[in-house]
Amino acid sequence: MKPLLYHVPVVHGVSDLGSLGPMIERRRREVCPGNRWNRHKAVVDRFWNGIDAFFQIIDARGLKIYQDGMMSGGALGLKIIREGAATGSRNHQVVLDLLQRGACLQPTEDIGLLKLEYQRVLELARRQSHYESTAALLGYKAAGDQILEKRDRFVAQTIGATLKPAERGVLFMGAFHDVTRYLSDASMEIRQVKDPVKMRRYLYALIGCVDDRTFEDLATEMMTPPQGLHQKG
Amino acid sequence: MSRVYIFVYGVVKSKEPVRFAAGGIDNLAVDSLSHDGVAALVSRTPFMSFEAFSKEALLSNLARYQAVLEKVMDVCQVLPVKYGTFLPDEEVLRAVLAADQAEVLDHFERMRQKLELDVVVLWQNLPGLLAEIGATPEIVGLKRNATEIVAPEAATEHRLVVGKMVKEMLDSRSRRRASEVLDALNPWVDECLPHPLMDDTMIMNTAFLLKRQNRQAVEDCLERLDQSYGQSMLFRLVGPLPPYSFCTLEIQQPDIRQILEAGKTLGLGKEATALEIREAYWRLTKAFHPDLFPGDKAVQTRFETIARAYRTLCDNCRDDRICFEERPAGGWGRIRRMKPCVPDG
Repeated sequence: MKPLLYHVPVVHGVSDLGSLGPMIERRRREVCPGNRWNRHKAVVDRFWNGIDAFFQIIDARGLKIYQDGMMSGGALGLKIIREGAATGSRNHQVVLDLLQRGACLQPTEDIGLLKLEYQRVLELARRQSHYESTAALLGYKAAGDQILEKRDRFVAQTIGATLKPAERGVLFMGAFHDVTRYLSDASMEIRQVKDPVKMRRYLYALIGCVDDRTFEDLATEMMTPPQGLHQKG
Repeated sequence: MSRVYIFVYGVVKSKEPVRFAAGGIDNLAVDSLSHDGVAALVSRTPFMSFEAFSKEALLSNLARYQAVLEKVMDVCQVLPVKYGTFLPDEEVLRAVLAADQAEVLDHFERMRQKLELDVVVLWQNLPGLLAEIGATPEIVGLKRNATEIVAPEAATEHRLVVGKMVKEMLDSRSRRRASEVLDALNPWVDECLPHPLMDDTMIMNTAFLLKRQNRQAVEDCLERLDQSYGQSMLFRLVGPLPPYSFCTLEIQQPDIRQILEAGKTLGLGKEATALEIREAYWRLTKAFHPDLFPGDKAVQTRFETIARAYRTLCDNCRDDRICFEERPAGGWGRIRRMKPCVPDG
């Protein structure tokens, strides 16, 4: 029996940015046309409500969790997840709930590649284009990112090597990643909990380039809870 | 008790202390460290670099860093310091401010009553525009050749040629529109700096430095442009901002060993004036010029080492002199304006 992998492309939430939050909100409204920034906050919230509800009815015992940016499993991994959940990360809150119900966190990423990614983000943060750094904060990633591609290959290899026949896993990975492209359908059943292509289109739309109606259609798609995946297989 | 490091946001020209109870990086308090009318905005942190933060924290701290500077900008003039500047203690920071106060004051003078606005212009409907380009006679003709004339084995190559031509036509249209926007804004701005375009939807991503009193004129001008271009282009205006693109400062903390090594390379004694450094450099570059020793790799390396040593010493001269035996009163640290990031091409 082939292993089963649920793929959840993730979009990061809007964390509490402290007392200077209104200043940051103003910049984001300037980058996102119209009312899209305010809409985005509600969209992300409902997106995660849907993901949370989806996993509530899944038996988490023995489920292997592969998490974006996670290089450790065990106690250290759990500590990172707990800290993220405490600071309001919806992604980490969902993972923590699964771990508490018997799932197991897997070392997912290569530390060398994560360091390279960190340097890339730091360089981007130091660029003086305010628009570009704000777009990055909103989750935008330019095409042709080689580190992203290398990380995707590594994560796919890790999953391929650790998710055994008849086992079940969940991959939480940023929407701009494309890990499943490197996983073979023949050796693994992959269930897309959300459509990553539509999520990427939504994130592009957030900073412009589509009309309001298209944006709203994509936002609705983002908020629609995952359906019909439990019964398959 | 654990050690405390100093994270620096920017420099303000204000005698009044600045203080926020929270909201800095890692939601820490922000206050100011003054030196003779110039003050640095700082947070005290147990971390000595960003290595201690996750990628997400790095980005949310960037937002906080920007928010601190923009809030302060409402009450006094502020020059940003490069994001991610951590110093080992207050003494180093005060020393840097003291050593380079004149230069910092010059930057304040140059940026006085000025602010930055970032203007981004995007194609509103890129697929529609590409379809329009695809329907031009040049592209239609090329496509026809692909199906009627070109041999099947050359079809892929021909499609690449068509794709390249579509891209060139798109870039040409983008450049033309960007130039029109620049011309319209030109009367109201003092300087402009193009940032890299993030993708094909982007026509312009440019920072403008302007006098505060011209802000409304720039906003009105963009409003008129927005109306005249209708639905084809989307205008985004970010700001007012501190002069991130035009005057971000960088605190350099040179390695003392590098300075001593540079002194040895140029054969200098316990101290040297700027003139003596220059003379030593000229003498040695004449003696070890690679043109005199064609193909000699050792000489080439020596020549490069001499040039590097000269640059190091020039960068670290204080009052036109350098002493290798004692730490200068202000320490070795310097505060400099960062070179603007200009895109390639």
